[in-house]
Amino acid sequence: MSKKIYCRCEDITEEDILKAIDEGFDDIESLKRYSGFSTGPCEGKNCIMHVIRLLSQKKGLKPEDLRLTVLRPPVDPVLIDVLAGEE
Amino acid sequence: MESAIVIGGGITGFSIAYNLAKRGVKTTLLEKKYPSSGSTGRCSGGIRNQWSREHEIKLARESIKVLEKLSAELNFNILFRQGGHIILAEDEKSMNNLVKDTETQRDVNVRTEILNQDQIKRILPFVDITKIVGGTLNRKEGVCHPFSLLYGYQQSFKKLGGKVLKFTKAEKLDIRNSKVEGVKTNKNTFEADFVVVAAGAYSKELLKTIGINIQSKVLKTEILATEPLKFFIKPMVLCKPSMLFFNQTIRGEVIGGASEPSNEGYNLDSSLEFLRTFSKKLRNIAPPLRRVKVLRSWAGLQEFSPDESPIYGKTEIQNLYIACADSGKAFTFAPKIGEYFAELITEGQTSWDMTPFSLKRFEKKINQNH
Ligand SMILES: Cc1cc2nc3c(=O)[nH]c(=O)nc-3n(C[C@H](O)[C@H](O)[C@H](O)COP(=O)(O)OP(=O)(O)OC[C@H]3O[C@@H](n4cnc5c(N)ncnc54)[C@H](O)[C@@H]3O)c2cc1C
Repeated sequence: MSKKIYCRCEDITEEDILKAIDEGFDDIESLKRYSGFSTGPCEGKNCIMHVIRLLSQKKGLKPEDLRLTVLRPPVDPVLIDVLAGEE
Repeated sequence: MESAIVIGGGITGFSIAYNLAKRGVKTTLLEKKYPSSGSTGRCSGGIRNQWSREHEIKLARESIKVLEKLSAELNFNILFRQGGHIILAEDEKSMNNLVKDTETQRDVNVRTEILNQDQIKRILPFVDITKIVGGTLNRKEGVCHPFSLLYGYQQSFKKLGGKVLKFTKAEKLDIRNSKVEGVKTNKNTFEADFVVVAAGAYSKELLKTIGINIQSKVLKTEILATEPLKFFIKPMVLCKPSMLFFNQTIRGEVIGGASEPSNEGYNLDSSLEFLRTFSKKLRNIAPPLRRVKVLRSWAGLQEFSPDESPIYGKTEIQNLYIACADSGKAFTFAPKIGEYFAELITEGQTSWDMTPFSLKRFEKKINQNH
């Protein structure tokens, strides 16, 4: 069977997401924590819209009825050295 | 069949709910958001045995024993890795305190080793040893993945017939003649023989409405995760007195924080200030880690009781139990605490003395002051 990759950072497929929803992780924050999508280096920028589309379809809602997961700073990865500043 | 309601879908609530269900109590767990949304899903998952007081050392020791068998019992991999915890002393005073603690630990059969600089260097080659006086290591300690532990309990709890109601907020406790009869939520009213309040730092809000005052401080604690790296840090590391801590997860991310005193309150905003202080402290102790990138940061609440131990046990209201004021340690204690609560609730007493954790311990102090 062919695989649809939803989250490239963490290698999570459509099947993984569907399985998690069926197990009851059917709100966006629980789904993120259980399946692991949106927790890699892109922090969800590439996958969250796909997941929202799928979850809203499964729940019979419109995509805009679901909220984004809470965004965690920094927006892009930052070096410890940069954050620590001058020595 | 007796029934119970557990308020709060954190690790404390789930451990208690699972153990009640296991003993045949018809149990419903209420969570105002989604399970793990409180401190549990925000913590570093450290399972620590190196405490200073006997009752805490013993409870942690028993929790570790539970965790060692729990994956098999729940048929769910809770991702408990016993890589040990190393506490590094940055000054002589901290070292003396650590050594004193190892003696108290030895008295209750918890073996913690005292390490010199060379031994530390061998375990943590990236540490700038000139900044460290010495340290201690307990090899039974480790890290348990908070979500896996919680989901493991949740799955078994449901299989035993337990109900989890998410987005259901307990708003009022129904008390009649000094006895709890049920809970009113934003959706329904539930009756139950027993009610356990395990709502983390929000417990005291709910308890206040029935005249139970918890003297505690709620503080924000920030934490961050780096990009995943090849495995290179075996133990969880804590530095004293700077309170810098970090460990590497099975996924390779370094998770760390530097508990700085922050303002009292329920604010959960991440701050640049935290990223800066953490990075400075980390670069100081572990210079090679300067080349690592921070991926994300978040915050959680810690609720400290006056003696910085959690509050576990009965209340003056019949059949109403509380587990709150986590004091930054309740993730470690939860696996055993669930068993004790189930024993207390179904048998009226426990085989183990819970008085050092009782709410009563603070009442006595107030009376003595009069
Ligand atoms: C950054 C950080 C790092 C930490 N590191 C460690 C560590 O390494 N080791 C350790 O042992 N501990 C650690 N802790 C502490 C640990 O996270 C907590 O002690 C533990 O998770 C508390 O679990 P709990 O179930 O009691 O509370 P919580 O996990 O907060 O759960 C309470 C739940 O109750 C829900 N709730 C609240 N009010 C209501 C209501 N009215 N009705 C229904 N539900 C409600 C909340 O939404 C929440 O989900 C850390 C904490 C933080 C913040």
